[in-house]
Amino acid sequence: MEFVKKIQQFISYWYVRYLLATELYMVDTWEKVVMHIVFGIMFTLFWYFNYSIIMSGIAQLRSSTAHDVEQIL
Amino acid sequence: MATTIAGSRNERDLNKLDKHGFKDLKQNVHNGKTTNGYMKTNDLRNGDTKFGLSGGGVPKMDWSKYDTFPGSFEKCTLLTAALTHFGLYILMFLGFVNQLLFTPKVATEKNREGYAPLYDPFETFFSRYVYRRVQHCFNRPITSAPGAELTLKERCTDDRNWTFRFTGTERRCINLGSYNYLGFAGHSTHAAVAAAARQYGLALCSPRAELGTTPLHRDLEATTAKFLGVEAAIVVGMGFGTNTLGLPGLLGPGSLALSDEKNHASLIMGLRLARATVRVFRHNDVRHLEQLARAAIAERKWTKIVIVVEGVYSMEGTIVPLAAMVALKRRLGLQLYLDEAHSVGALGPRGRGVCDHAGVAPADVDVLMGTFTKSFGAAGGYIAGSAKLINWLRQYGHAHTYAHAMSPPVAQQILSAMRLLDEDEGRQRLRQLRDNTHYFRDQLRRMGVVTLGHPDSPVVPVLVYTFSKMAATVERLTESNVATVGVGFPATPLNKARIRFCLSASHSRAQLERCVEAVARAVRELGLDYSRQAR
Ligand SMILES: Cc1ncc(COP(=O)(O)O)c(C=O)c1O
Repeated sequence: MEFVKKIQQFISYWYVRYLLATELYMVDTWEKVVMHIVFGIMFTLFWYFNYSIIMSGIAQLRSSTAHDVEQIL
Repeated sequence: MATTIAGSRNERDLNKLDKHGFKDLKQNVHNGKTTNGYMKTNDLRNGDTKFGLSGGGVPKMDWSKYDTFPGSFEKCTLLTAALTHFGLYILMFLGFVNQLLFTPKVATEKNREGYAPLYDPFETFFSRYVYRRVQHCFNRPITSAPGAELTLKERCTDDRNWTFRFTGTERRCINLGSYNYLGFAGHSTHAAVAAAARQYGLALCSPRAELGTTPLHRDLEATTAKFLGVEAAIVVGMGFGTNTLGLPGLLGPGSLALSDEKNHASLIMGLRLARATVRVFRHNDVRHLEQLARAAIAERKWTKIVIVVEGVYSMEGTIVPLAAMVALKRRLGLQLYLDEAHSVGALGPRGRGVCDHAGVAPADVDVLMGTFTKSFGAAGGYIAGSAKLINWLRQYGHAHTYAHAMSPPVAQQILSAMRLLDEDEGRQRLRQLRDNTHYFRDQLRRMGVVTLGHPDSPVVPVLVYTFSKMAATVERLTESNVATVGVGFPATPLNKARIRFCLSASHSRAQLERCVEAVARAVRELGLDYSRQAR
């Protein structure tokens, strides 16, 4: 039980800090939800962009020889 | 042209005929206006400064010889700055969406086609969508005297801060919000004040210049002058009005005011009413001030150049580097208007304000202005200086002639408090205030929060940067029974919201310890320890 409580405390502490850092602390609930969703979408898009474009690009670079790199560049 | 820059004397010899045998009418031009050659002197310098005719000949100030400490201003990290701006951006964006989707009734103007909009769009937008959300931290009603403790009347809201209703409960809090520096608000001196009210009534129903002067007023003016160590003083029923009505009496369209950027609204308004030209120098920056002053002197068109500063700045907790300003003023022949609203009574070994603190003779400051609202626990303001200056102000400052005289019990309260200051009890209060200030500032520094200002200033602003943090801190502190004030945008820059603690001689060490504990809890929970200095 102690352990669960500690985790709860930890989460609520950092949730408040997150709200304060983004000024969401003082806005209405629906506005909070909208901004959470916007942040969520942005994060997912970034993650997907990094995953699909950057990662595969780097993978390609790593698997290619120096000669290929010259051609790519 | 033969007029001096000081503009006070037209030096043309009127008896000499010019080469055509006429008195040259063209020479009677002053500031672009033709005059009859006679000009009344309105030069109120106290005689110890000569007006420098050319700024170029006077050597530059060597600032290393003076204490020019502008107050501590710790810079925040790039991350904090970025997050603060990002948060503001989100707030504005949400406000915009809100206004678009649910336009409130107050935001729609009907039947006003062809007229200019009633409200400035940004200000109303700001007050609806930023200020409203944190409104529960402001304008909080109290139901007791603002002593070391006060009673807050609790409110709650059913419609997201558009309106409030009272819950019927009250909360006793330690008061860290009032400017009650010496603890005179709330107690003491009551017997004498009651006697004055019985003898003279509460109002005189007349301005000073008519039937509004009682022996109490004369006594108060003499005591104030003696207290400050100058020739004479004039008292006015309202501190704000002392500035807004006094400045137009002293300055006119031909004068230049060099005004600190953090000056109080009353000074700014007074300068505007005086129609003086205003140039603003960076807060407490004597080098910038010197630059502006030299440039202005080189223009050779100002009847006088006046530096307008405050003693303690209430939003920054900084103290003016007065010794340096006086040295500059003497070298360049400027005049100095000093507003001691927050410093008189609260600073200096004898409580004489910032002159006492900086070791400057009061006669070196041309115009000493101050209010009785803070340290003396009363109301009203004064202007003190040379007898010539005060006589001039009685004539041309509108307060003496047109505004209601100071209420007699208020005058008595000031008198009693001022006399107490020179007794053991007053000295004890001054010591207590200084101890409390140093203790509290020290504790805050150990917590790692960013405090602004001078170590001796009893106003202690703590930077929290965002509105949310300001509101959250005020909420947390109220929960721990500490009443304090958060300050945000119109009074500070948008991204520099702060909590302002005001210390008082009436706080006991136990009370302050409780406050420190409460602040420490809030700092830990909200992450306010932005400071990167050694703790
Ligand atoms: C620097 C300064 N001047 C003038 C005033 C106005 O004084 P009062 O509140 O007595 O009208 C204040 C008040 O806060 C102030 O801070």
